[in-house]
Amino acid sequence: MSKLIKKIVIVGGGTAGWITAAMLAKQHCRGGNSDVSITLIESDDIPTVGVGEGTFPTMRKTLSTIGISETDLIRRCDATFKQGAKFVSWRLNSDKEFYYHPFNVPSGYGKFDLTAYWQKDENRHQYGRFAEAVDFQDQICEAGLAPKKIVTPEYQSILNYAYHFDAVKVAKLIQEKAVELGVQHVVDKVIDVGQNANEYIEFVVCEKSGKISGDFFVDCSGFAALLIGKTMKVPFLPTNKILFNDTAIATQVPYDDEEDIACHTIATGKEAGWIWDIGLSSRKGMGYVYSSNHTSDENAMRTLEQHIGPKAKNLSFRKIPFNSGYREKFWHKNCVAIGLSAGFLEPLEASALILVDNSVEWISERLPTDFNSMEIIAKQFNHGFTKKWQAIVDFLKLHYVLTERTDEVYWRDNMQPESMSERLIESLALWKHHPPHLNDTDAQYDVFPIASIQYVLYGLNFKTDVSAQHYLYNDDKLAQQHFQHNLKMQAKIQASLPNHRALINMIKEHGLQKI
Amino acid sequence: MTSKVVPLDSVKHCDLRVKVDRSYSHIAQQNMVPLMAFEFLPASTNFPIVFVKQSETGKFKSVALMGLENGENVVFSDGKVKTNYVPVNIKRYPFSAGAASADEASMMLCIDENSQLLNNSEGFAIFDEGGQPSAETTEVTQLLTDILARDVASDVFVDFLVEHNLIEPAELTLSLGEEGKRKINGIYKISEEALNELDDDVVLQLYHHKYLPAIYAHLASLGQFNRLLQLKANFTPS
Repeated sequence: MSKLIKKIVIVGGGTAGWITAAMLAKQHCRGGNSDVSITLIESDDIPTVGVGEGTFPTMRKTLSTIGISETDLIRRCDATFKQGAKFVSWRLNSDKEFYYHPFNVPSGYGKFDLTAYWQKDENRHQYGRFAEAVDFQDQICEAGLAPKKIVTPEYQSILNYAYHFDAVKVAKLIQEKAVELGVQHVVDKVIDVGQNANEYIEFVVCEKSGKISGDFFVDCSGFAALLIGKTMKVPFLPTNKILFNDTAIATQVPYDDEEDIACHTIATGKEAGWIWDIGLSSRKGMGYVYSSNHTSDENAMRTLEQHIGPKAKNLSFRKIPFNSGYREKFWHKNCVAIGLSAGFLEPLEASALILVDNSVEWISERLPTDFNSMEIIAKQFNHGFTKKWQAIVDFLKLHYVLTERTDEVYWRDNMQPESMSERLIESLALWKHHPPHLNDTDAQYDVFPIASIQYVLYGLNFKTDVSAQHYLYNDDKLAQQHFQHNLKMQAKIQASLPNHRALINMIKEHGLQKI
Repeated sequence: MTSKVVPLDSVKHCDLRVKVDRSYSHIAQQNMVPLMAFEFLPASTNFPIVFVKQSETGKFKSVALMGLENGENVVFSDGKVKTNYVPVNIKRYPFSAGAASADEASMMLCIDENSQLLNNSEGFAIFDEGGQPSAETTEVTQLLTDILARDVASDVFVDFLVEHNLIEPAELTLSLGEEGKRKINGIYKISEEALNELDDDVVLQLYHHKYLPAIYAHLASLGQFNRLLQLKANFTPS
């Protein structure tokens, strides 16, 4: 057997670094009953970006696996529940135009496809928007209700959910757990990296602690990409020909007294990008992410201020320029990049943290025993994650391409086929006559399921013409049962769920039970 | 009729009398009542003692089960009492204890104004002619003052169980004869497995806090589900 992997060194301590450390420690330190050691080095003078405040339901599994209490998450990280995203003004330039991408899957999902039935005029007329016709989470969000009750145990749901949270506070909470699980925490700055003749990393040099050697290195150093970029020079593949946004202006907006907390992310389309609105329990995080080729910073600022209204006067704003794209490889030799060092896309659909979840899960399940198996696992990992990034880019792009805002350059440019991947063009051609099918995605790698694609496609009024095979869609009775069932469930559940802010307050006061 | 609990008022309530109803018919449409830890032993030979979550806080509370579905009470019904132990929370009715202020130590006597036991002619007077609490009322006040501390002690007991992961969902499937089988959700019990795996120091704490009798009384009481089923079999809703 070649050199064994026993000493893991993680460089960087944001959410990505600490989730990686805690998950690896949980799986491989076994409370000190293994000979694997994990060291996390973080500098105290590099601020975390801390803008990624929206998550995907995979985060629940990650946090519960690590052993974080959901009550602590709510109490200490200003966390709230997120049941999906509401897209306002993406199809038409009107604040009355919106659709939902909820986390619940459509009724009958995987067994009986309602999309063709929903497209029939009489059903659209009777049951409304796609998301509200095929599921009831849309209406629960509109009513400002929580996805669970105070008697629902931690991490269990009545409606599927993720979180909005303060990423800096979450990193701190996970850090405590990681240290408890055996992670060695070194507060120091990495100033040099030592590689052997085959370019494998042997050690990093820190300002105060000197040399820290390891067998396997995880680069969680954020945009700096200290190991994967600066040291290993793995190329960065920009995606700015597809996703035009390259700048964000972020701010934090206080609530009015007892103002409702939205239980979903609100993304509002603007002339050169979109504005996020994420409700934590203490404040809202808001920001405009836009294409600097399509607007000036001054105009962008004005757009954001107008959107926020009178409160904007007293706020401080932070400009964050970014390159959207990802690495040609994420795992090179004995170094793997997780988090912003692996790549960054505009914060649409919270894809950044999903990829952290996915990467950490993969690595903790398939941590190589030695350098030989590492090569094979790295190859699988790179193949898988390249596919995942491509799928995410296509999925994000899908939000733009069906717009009808054709009198604005930014939106018109987004509709040009040259700005789309071949796969997206093909998929759109297919969906013109075939409703999206589970087989259309590579389920092993696609991060967003077909349900997500359906919500976006039909939320944007996409037409799938099934007339050539109309005989496939003549079970109107069953379709009616599904539509009616949703209405019944909605009424029943809506009456029993608490208001979102009320539930957060209840949890702060009483806590959630573990069972 | 829904209850309307208000603080007792020597002016407003001066003429009120309380009918004594030893059949406790006010509970006939209620299938559970909070039960304090010190009551577990005498209650355990009569009804199942289980834990349920309170809908306002999600916190666990111990209760005596007296019916197998909402609105059903097979123990107190039809003017009959089929138990040799009456829980304090049934006995005290129509009186209850309210906290006078944020300071929980001071107790305020309350009464359910909508209670059918209240009237102007029958039973004992709440206040005597001089407007002072009657002997019976003083007795009830003493009982409720006593309960207040014991109710807190009960919550501490339940918190201890939760903190040491001793509570688990009770998966109950009842065979209801012709009606077939039915699953009962939302009730919890102490896990014997978890109990048997406790560290020595926690077991010692259980002993010193005198929690062991309550724990085993609870476990033994689960056998009373069969008694409820038997009572239910001969039961005609009132």
